[in-house]
Amino acid sequence: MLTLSLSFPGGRYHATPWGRHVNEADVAWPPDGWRICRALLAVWHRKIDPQRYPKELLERLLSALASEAPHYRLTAAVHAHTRHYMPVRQKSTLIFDAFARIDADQEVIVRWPNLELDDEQTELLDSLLEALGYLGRAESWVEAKRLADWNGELNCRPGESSVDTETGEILGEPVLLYCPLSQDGYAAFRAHFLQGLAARTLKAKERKPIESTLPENWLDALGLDTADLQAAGWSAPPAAQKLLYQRPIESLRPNAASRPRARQILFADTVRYAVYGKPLPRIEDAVRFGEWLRRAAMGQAKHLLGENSIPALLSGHGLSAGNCHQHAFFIPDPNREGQIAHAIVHIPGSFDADTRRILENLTKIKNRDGQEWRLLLEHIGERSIFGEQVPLLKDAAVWQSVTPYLHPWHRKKSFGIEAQIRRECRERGLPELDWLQSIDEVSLEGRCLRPIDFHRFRRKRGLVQPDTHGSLWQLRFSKPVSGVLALGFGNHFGLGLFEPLE
Amino acid sequence: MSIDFSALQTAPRLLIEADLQPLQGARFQPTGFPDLGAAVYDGPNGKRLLLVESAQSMANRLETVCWNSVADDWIDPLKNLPLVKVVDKQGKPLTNTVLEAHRLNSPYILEGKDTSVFDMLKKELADMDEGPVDIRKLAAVVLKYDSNALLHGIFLAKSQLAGGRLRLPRVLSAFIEAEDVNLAQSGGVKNDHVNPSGDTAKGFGNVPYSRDDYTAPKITAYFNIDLAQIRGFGLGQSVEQLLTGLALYKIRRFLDEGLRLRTACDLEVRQLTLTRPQSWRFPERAELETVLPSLIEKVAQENRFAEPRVTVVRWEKGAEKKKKAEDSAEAEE
Repeated sequence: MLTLSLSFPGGRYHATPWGRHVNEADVAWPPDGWRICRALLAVWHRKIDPQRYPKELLERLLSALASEAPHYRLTAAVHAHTRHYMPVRQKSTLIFDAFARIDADQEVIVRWPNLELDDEQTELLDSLLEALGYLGRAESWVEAKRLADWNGELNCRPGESSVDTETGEILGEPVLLYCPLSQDGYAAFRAHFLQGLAARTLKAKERKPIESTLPENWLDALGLDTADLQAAGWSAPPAAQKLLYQRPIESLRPNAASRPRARQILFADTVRYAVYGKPLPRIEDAVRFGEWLRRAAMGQAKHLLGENSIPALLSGHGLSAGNCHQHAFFIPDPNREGQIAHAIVHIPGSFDADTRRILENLTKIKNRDGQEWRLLLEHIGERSIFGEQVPLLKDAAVWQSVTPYLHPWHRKKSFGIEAQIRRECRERGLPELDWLQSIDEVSLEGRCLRPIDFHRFRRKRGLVQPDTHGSLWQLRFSKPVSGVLALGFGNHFGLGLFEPLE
Repeated sequence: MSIDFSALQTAPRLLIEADLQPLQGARFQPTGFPDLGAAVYDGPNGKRLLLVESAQSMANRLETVCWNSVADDWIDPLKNLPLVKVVDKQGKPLTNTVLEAHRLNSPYILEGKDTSVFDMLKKELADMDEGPVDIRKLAAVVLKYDSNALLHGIFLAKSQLAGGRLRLPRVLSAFIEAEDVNLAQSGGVKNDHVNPSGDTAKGFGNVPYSRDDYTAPKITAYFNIDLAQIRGFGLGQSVEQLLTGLALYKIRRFLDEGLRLRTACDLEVRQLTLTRPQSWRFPERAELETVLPSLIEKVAQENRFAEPRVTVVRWEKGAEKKKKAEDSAEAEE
């Protein structure tokens, strides 16, 4: 197996395919076997000491390369061109100069899968490759080397087009490449052609150029001048064969694939949605709403990432024992009438990219009866920038219940609700409570709600719920506290929610 | 002062990249033609690329900086390099092979009534009519009359000279490309205070015009010296060193003085990097200026140059031949 690497330090590869006019602006891509062999032959003529590497050795090497059609690993290339006027004496002609624009760091791999060279051939090949300055036109600077071990995947091979039998999709793009005929192949073609030529009555003037482009020696035929071949009327070099290759679709694209510009992702830990639907859920159903919101987020996560890759900070599952409240809060944000017109998802530990994508794609929530509400993302970002506009996210020292507080531990003689609130605040690292007071009801526009008016149970079975009644509170901390402030049982789903008391 | 060329004796090529930036402001004017615009194309990474200067144009620029047009001679460090000068009937200088578009293949040299150079080339390259072209012999002849053309590359496209097969590829090639470009469109009006609605075709009247400049975070000049090709000429170490030194000097001088490519394209070098071979040090211009005269002298002592070094051809239009349409596409640039 012989593998070559071609890289183009100037980032360009100029080569006009056989039979095409330069102004058709086509590019022979990938570099075909015919061109590679001729380039090596030219290097031998121009740069190599014929004493050290005799012509016979070169012939053996090139004939080995011609014995098999190479396969390729193509890199991304863009079909580009420049246009200019050529200052010819009589008139300026508009010229298209087409080329493949390639990344200078990328390499094209050319592989002869079954070819084994002997030591002499390998040595000559290495010298030729090292001295190879350009491939195709003089502007396509090339750096070529032999790779001892390369085991990547090839993506351009000789062969008929293949079709995906299931989808009917064509898997490759057909392209015709020229490869040198083997020595025997050329000898047979020449004999047959000359036989045919002898049978025709041609003038010597016509016959001579044709015969001179069919030299007996294979290497001479390989090295014939293109202009001579064209002058003799050949539409393709007689020592070459046309082979059908399949290259990856769009491997020579007319322009680079449009790529979204890299977006600057700012830190985010909070997202707020507007909730649309009639009627809007009421704040009495806060815990239900929190559960619907989580369920919608989980569904979206499953859809986008798969069941087993749901971010732990979003699901709240699989977190370490110490991480009680760093995972997501699904918080209803009611208006003055007590309708849940907004929803907030807040993760104190910030969103990772996946979570952000899930929350950005969240467009609706449903209740168990199939009723739907649309969610419209209002803003995603850092909690503090919501600031004054969203009371639940403000910094304040005095807070009052929006939904009932359900104490999370069992009550004991010396461990009442007050003591539990103080302990929770301590454990959460909140400032000392200066003062706290139980209130009977919270007032909305036109309504007053007692704890008993709220739904106070989670749907999840098997949860220990020491408090089923609930209580409403006003709290005053020694220093301002940042929202979201939610305490007690079900605080991640909208229970025990507080708002600043203005 | 001397330059250590020994490290280059095995290297196949010398690659140099110069990081450029506009001398003033951020805009620059690329190569282009009024009805074609600039050559903008996509790179494989999706960034827009712009051809600031083509390989053909750079080849000419690299020679222009070597020529003292006031004295009509090489600049000082390159004095005594062979070249062919064309004079008119009165003996006034007309052009020369350093500045002429096709170098030694210029029509002013090979197509006029004065066929001295043509005959000389024909004589010296006589035995190449059949069989493969002897690159070394061709290189020796080019070195003798127009040494610089060895770096520029040459194509003697005359059927009488070995059937038009005599050609040498470029040894020194270069181009300038800008990456991630953005268009800076502007315009203006040429004002005619006397008669704003005058005939614009005759140069009167107000003429609004638009122009496209570009900005780019990265403008790079790429240079490539094919050292293996220089060695392949088989002309001995002195010539190899002379050609390498000359190529390096052209690049140095171009980067120092030749970067005003157009009125609105004046660039300066931010950083110069020798990408291959990385271990070698790019000699300073002063070093090259010191070394080049002695290298020229050394090669002259080997009798490789024509004497006198300047070959003069008188240009007088030859008789029009009845000829077929010439294959213009094969002209070099």
